[in-house]
Amino acid sequence: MPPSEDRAQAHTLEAFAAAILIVAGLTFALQATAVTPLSASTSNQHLENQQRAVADDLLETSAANGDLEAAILRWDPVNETFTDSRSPSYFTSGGPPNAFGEALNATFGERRIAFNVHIRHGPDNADETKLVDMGSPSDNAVTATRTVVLTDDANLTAPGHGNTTLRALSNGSEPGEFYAADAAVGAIYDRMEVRIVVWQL
Amino acid sequence: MAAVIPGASDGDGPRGDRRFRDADRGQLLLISGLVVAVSLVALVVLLNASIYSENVATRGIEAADGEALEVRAAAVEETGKLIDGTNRNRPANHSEATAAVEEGIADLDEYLARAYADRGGVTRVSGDPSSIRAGRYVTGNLTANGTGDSNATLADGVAQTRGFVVEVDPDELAPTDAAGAPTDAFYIEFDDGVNETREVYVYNGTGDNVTVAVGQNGSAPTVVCSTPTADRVAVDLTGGTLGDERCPGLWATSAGALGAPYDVAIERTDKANGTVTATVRPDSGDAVGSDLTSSPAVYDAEIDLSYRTAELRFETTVRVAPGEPDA
Repeated sequence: MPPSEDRAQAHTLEAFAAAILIVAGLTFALQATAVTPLSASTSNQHLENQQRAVADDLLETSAANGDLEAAILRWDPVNETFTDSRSPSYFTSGGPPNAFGEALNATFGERRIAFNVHIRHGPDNADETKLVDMGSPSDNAVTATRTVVLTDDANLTAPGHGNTTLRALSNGSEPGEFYAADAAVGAIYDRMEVRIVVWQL
Repeated sequence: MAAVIPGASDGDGPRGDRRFRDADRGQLLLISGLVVAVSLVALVVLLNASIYSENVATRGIEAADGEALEVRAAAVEETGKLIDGTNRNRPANHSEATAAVEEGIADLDEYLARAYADRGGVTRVSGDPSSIRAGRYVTGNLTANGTGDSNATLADGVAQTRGFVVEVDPDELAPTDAAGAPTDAFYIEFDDGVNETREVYVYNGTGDNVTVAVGQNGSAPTVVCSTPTADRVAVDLTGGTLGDERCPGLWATSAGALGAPYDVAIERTDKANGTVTATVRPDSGDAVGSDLTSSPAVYDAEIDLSYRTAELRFETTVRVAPGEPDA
């Protein structure tokens, strides 16, 4: 048997090995190069879980010490705005100037994580008012929500309107308008669903 | 290649062929090694993919767990605010107060049902009217307490107290220290009528810090905490906070259990200025003796709560009494 015939088996194996090598290389390359903070990979999954937990805990602690309620009541009823200027009526570059806003900035802003804070209210929580809007979230954004209940005798916290209650605004005895209408019976004014959307810049 | 293999050209045909084939297997070994290496890499990639999908797949379960607690928190928070808001509206009598709370719970049930329906959950919140216990909502000014005297009864014959907050003006508090507090400072006294009393003194201590000291049976009090002077300082006796800070040991029973019913009095109010608010549950009947303004109120309520999704069934009964001390 001539030596050259003998090597056919080796050539076949070589061909298989080459094919596997190319496929494995492609697969590995696709997975390896895609690991950025925005891509779907194991490390990023971790990131999303972490951000969700942080957002949830931030809402929970702010609600527990009353900062969240104070933040959603920081509304100027005459100029109908959260900010001190008329337009836009929401914050775009950071949290509102109160304890909740400071917590947001310290938790997310300083770590280059963008956030939107929107408040849903009304009979079916169908209406939405923006408190902070930093733009459109990416595909890898995570959300956290917390419902805050407001009573009719809650006072606004905006500068110069500290003595205005929600009841006085809804029955017209004080000038201006709150962004949410009285949607509940009895002593409850409305339930405000605060939704934070967080994403890595 | 044949030329470099020793003995391949010695003319011994069959022997030379066999030796050549043996040497030829080096290439096969090399390729086999490569195949094993590539297989290992492929295995790692596969394993990574499966761990990733496992991670994604298990994420949903945690979210569903949290949702039941979220419903519970929402229901408890709103019922608490509803009870306190109703009390602050000063209903004319207890049946009016109870009706307002019942109506509020029914509205809460409707709201939660709508809010969670679009997340695939079914909620049910119901309040048992018999679990809504009557109380009194007591408010008033420390100095103008209706007696014309510096001592006044806040509530007599009390079984339980919650939401007991005294807001004091730091400028009007007596400057003293723990030793001088029993003779000089404004204080709140809890007296169970069988020789057990608890006193909570509020005064301007060192550096004009608003200081709270707790004593029992008229003995020398112990300072529990102090806070720098603010515009108005809220002493939350049942919540255990002074101003914005936690203040453990502020509630009267932390110095030892107190029998029920007990009487609550504010003493030496000429050494302080401010307001007081408390919700109390009478030991018997539905009224307490008080020198301040007391109106019919709801002390606490029990709500039955259930939350159901395709994977989860959660049922619980919660008693709601916002601002009630642990002991």
